[in-house]
Amino acid sequence: MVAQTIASGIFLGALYAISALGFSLVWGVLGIVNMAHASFLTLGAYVAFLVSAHLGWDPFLSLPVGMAVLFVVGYLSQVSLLNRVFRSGLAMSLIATFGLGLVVTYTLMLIFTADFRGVILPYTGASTTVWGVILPYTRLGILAAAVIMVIGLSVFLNRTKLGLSIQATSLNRDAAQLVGVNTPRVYAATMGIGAAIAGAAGMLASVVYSVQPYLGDPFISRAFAVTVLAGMGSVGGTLVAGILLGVAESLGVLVIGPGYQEAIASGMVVLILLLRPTGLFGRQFFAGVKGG
Amino acid sequence: MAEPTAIRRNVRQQLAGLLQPRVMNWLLIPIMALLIWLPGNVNAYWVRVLTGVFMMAAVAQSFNIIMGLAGYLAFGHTVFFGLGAYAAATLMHHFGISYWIGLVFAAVIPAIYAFLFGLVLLRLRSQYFAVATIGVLYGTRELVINLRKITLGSSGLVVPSVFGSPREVVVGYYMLMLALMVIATLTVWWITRNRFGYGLRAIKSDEDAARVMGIPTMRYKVLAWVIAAAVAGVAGGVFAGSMSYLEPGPVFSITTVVKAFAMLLIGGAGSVFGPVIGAFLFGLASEFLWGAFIDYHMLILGALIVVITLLFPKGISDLFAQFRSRLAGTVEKGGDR
Repeated sequence: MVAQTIASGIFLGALYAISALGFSLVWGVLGIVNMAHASFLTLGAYVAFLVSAHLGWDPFLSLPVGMAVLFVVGYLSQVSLLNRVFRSGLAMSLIATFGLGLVVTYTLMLIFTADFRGVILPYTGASTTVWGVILPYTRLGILAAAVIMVIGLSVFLNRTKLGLSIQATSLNRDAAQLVGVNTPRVYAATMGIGAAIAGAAGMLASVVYSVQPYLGDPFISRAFAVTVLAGMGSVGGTLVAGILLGVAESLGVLVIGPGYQEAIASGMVVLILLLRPTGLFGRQFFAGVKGG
Repeated sequence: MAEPTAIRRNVRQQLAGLLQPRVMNWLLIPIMALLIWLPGNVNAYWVRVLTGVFMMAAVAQSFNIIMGLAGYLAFGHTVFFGLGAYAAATLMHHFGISYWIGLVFAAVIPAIYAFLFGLVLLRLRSQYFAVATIGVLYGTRELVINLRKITLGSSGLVVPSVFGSPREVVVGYYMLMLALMVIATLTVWWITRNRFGYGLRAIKSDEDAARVMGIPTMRYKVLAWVIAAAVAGVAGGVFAGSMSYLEPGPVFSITTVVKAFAMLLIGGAGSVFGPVIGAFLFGLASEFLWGAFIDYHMLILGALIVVITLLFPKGISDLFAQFRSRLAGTVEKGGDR
């Protein structure tokens, strides 16, 4: 029972980790607490639904499609809206992204209505059992995707020119500009990547949850919790923190009863902020130094 | 005979004089008289719309105290609105206390909540504080949903009304919200005119410097948050009464804070009348917009917020201030404020 609970917690946490990964990157690099993140996630889930309903593609395999779509959405929202707004302070970016999120969510509502839709795969109900613990294939797939995504993002940030430009910009945007980094483009690319990862999280979520316009909403408080727990911009830490949160929530259900998961996540946010604002793995410089 | 340019300057100065706060204050008397006269003389729909505007003005003022004056972005500020609504409604439901005593609790319980959380959270700066308050909001909302014995959870709570006929209900809550808006505005006015208000502004511009100069920063911030929470709480309490039915979703919605923030952007954060003006402009504009497209109102709200932030990243009030100083001739050609 406990082993099963911990296993479900790990699977849940893997999804939390992916949904926090892009959020954390954007917050760490741009200093934007992206309230539109949940709607990006939902948008990704709808892409997965459309691609699987019309083309019959498996969401695990069509991940690049959804990520490309969301990259464009993120890139454009940074270029057209957020680049003009986010330097006016945290407050402006909070409400601008919130407005953006409303637009995306309710456009989806308009197109698809509030109906619940499902992405059914041939192996949806299938699972394997290891030492009495049931491991559904879809959940294993999500865990694998989380690990790949974390490794991929960290390789990208440390090994590619754009990745290094992003890191440089997050450390000191003026200095980065001085050495020839095109910072507005880096901002846009960062938001694009953040949105793409959110889209991937949504596509993966579509495999285990019903697709509806509010699908992403519960993930935003988890993205907060995971990001704060891991420390902004800490890529590997996000996976660990996500799994910690997932396990804590699952155990919480076992001990306190269902319904308090969001309170657990929010309680963790407040506690961690008070005790260790840089998070468990956060590097102070990644987001702390930057003013405004 | 005066030169045309001199005349033009004179007219400009007269205009600028009319836009000065001192002259504007005199306008308040006819405006108040109009607002008191209005509910007996227009149809219930418009009375309800204005009631909503007054409520948002009170919430915007509450947000103005902590965010506009002290500079602390309490993004989860709606938590006090929701708590106020639930404090009044649950106490009435379980103990049969009168609505008026319920409203007292609607102020006191959020104030205590703000005091306790303020002592720890107000040590955090900027984004950490903002995110922590969102955490408090989400956590509290879920507690309210789950403590079914007290709050009846998601199934909602019926709030008995103190007013009799439907017309009395509409006008009664109109008057209550109007009174609350006036009290909230007077509170902000009172704060800005004394030591406490100057202290808060000093904290907003440079907290470390303020502390060095001997301002008890922690005490001031907590006090500001407590006052703001009490105002938001009473607004929630009146709202609960006017809805006659209460559920957690709408009163613990982050959208309320976003609207309040948009109103501060329009009217000017930290000013006395700005949030009220912002609430009227925003409230009426959105009413006209989604009166026409009832199904799209959240979409329009989102678009409205995006447009406001895009066009006026520093707030519409900033443009107004520029306009006023330009009229007064204080800004010469191409001058930078």
